[in-house]
Amino acid sequence: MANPTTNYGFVLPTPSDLVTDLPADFEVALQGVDTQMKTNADAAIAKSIVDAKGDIVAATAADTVSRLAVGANNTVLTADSSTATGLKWAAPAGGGKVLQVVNATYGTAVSNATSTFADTGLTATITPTLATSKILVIFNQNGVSKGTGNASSRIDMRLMRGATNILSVGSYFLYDGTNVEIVGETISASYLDTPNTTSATTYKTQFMNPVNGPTVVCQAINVHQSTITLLEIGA
Amino acid sequence: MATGTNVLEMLLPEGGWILIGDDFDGITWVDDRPRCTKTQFEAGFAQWDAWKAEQDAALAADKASATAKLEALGLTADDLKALGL
Repeated sequence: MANPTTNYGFVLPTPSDLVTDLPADFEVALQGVDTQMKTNADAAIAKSIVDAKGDIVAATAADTVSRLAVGANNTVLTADSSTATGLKWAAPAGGGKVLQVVNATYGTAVSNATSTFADTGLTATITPTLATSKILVIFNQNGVSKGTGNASSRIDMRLMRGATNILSVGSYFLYDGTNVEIVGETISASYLDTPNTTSATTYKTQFMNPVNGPTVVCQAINVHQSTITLLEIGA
Repeated sequence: MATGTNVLEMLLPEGGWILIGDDFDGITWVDDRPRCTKTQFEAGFAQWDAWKAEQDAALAADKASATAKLEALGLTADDLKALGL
């Protein structure tokens, strides 16, 4: 009896063997199968080692595996020899890098004849990838104008994050001590904000005339397109 | 061609409004200062050119009158120019 199988070499009778002890032959062949299956099972990684979506299998030592649960959203797998698996989930090291850019424009005229701050219409929303990120806000408020009517007229402008004033940019803008109309000026500014959130965050500009009566305008003519750009900068 | 802002400045020079675009529906009334109706607002676009011409003419007349008074006091054209007039 010397007829080994192709892959594992289980010993079987050849076609010309005279089978005199069939139980003994079966025992030899099946014992070989049994031994090989045990060897295979011992070497396999059991699927029960993982428990949840995103779990991965990692080694804790030679021929030893362990489950590593999925990390938080937007984290990356990082080598760390201090952990059991030599791995950990961590925030990406994005220091100084631009992680995303949001841009918006607005070109409709908005007039304000009050001393109450009103939206210029220029706004953009960003959802930071990481709570540690900074947001660089750059805007060009175009078509900024003041009408006639009062020598003290001027524009006060501010940059808002949601309902919070984060930068007063245009106090006394266009003030010239006369009641001469001024049309088509630009207020530009940038501000590095730290919103400390991963929620959608809206930035916008607001303006008013403290004199409370004479008109001030943004995007005074439809060729005056104002722009705002938000850059998420990795911490 | 008049804008919505021009029309409101003509009708309501004392302010009290915020306007987005050129339509009446874009007006926000901020306090209890006088307001205009939609009809008055829409009619104002056709009235504005004449009103503006009157304003400019009155301004020019006032300036000419003031200049004449200053000249009568002995100021020369160069003096007035130095004063920005």
